[in-house]
Amino acid sequence: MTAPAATMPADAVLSVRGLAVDFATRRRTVRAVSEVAFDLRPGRTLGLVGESGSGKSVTSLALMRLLAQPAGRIGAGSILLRTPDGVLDLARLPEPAMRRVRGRRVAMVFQEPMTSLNPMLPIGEQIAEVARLHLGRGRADAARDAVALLDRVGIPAAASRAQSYPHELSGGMRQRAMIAIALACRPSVMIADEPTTALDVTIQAQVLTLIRELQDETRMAVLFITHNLGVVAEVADEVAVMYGGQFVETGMVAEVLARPAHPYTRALLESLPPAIGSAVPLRRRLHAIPGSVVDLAAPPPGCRFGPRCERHVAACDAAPVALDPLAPGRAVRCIRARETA
Amino acid sequence: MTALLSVEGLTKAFGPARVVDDVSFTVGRGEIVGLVGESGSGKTTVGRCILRLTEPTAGRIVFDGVDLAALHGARLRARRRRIQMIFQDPFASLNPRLRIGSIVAEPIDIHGLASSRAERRRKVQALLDEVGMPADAWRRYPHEFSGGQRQRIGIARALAADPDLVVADEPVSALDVSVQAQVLNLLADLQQRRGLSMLFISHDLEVVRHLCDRIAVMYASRLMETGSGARIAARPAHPYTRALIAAVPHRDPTARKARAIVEGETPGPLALPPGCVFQSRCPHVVPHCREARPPLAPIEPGHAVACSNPRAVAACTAD
Repeated sequence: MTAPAATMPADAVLSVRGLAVDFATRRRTVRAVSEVAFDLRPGRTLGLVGESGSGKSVTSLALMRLLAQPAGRIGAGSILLRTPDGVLDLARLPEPAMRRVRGRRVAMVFQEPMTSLNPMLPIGEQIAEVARLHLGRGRADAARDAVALLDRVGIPAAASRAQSYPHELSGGMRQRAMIAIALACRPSVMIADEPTTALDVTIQAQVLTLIRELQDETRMAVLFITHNLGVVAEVADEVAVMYGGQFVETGMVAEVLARPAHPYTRALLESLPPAIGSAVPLRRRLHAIPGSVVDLAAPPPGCRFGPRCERHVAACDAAPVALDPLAPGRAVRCIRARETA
Repeated sequence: MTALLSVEGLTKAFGPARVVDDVSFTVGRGEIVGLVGESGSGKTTVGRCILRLTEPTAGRIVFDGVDLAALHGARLRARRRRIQMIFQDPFASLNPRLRIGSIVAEPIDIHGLASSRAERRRKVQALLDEVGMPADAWRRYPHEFSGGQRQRIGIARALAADPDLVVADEPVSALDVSVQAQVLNLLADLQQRRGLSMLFISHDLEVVRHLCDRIAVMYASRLMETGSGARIAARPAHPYTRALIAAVPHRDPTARKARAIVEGETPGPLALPPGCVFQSRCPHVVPHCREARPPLAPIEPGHAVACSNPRAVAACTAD
């Protein structure tokens, strides 16, 4: 195994460096994600937050090498995964080896479990299949594991529910089953892409609690992708805010949400309706962000948020803006960040 | 002052499934009422029954003094002009083959609200302007616009018939938060400027608390609680409302704590238990809850709760 060129911190299980994702259309190639870098650590959760088109889901699909083929491809960067057999660069791993990583080392939970579960197989069988395939478990052992996992993710009467088909389960139960499949091989990394977005709020609270408990037990690292700032505040230790295919702000979630340093992060927080218990008067004007999201086929030469930013000055358009450290563990892609800090 | 809309004992059954069960509430003139509930609660069916897009099984829908549920044909159509709907999905609710001008003019044409082509054109232009669309939008097609702009077009179309009441079913749920803020601001403006009444159907408590004068909380086909938005947000009296509020993610991570998470799932409309529909998940359940169905009863002026355990109501409102 060749040693990857990039390096990763000793305590990280997954390190992404300089990741770019390109999509080819008939006429041109669009860089949907660029300069993405982060580390995932055991037992910790990184929240990836952004609006539609920000590149958060494309990032997660790139990590799993599940980009739509042949249009999408990793254009640059490395995805370093620590395994018992050494460090692998998922950006360069041949597909057969990648198949041994997916589900085994890095598992994924999607927004809509109905599209990722096999409608023709009982859910217990789908979990057992993963254990047989990746861990070489025998048929009876795998079936027993499956029932134990269904029980652990909070599916009542797990032994009989294991015989159920996906359509016989509620949305919340299907998502629990998806999480059970993801956990079947005790992966070191779980990527959860909007896992609670399709769920009712009381069920969302149950599933978020479940994910946190499972993480405490297994010490897996979690990359949690969401558009919901409240959900990020609930689950994440650190957060990366995405806009126009790039990280615009990273840091500890409490820091970033309490003292946002990037104008986009601040605008996003201010556009939310007031929290339920707040005393803010009825229908008080919300801060809407003017304009629409950046066109990645023709991004502006300078800051990608510039055309919509209320702190915009001429210098913002001069050159691409780098994600610069602001404080330890904190970085911001804004030339004026230090003025406000 | 009498209410503009008074829904009384509304029930809708599809065979054995009662998806709306004995629902009563009012919408006053110039008032925005939020109908909040989780999926399958029946809130969308209530909206559809008000517009008679779905035939109610029982109950009255009294709009400006006339029971819509008893009207048919031309008389129903004439009344119905004054109630318009805004839909959730701005991609599915606009005909992709029509120009924006034709889409917005549709209610004007149907109800004969313009006497000349020039007047029709002038009205469309004024409506597009009112919802903040660019001047040349009338000759373009839906696919040329973003989700937020399409929702503005849907709002312009609803306004074209000059309605007194708008039923808005999850109108901002498909939008990103920054765009959602624009549309919520627009709806607040319209209420202010036109004195428009609105039934705002949503699963999002924060949005409902922001926009609505009063809130009606629906769960498993029934109403659990009604009251002013401020009261329900600050002092919810029904254990379900309380659970719903507790489940909303906290934006302040330092306030993250072990919350009382309500367990279990909503019973389906085919499996509604006798007695209270929330009994299987309620932390305050007493034997009486399984026997008699709690009526929606006032606990103080303008605040009504469907809970038969007074200790639960007291516990919920205590803090």
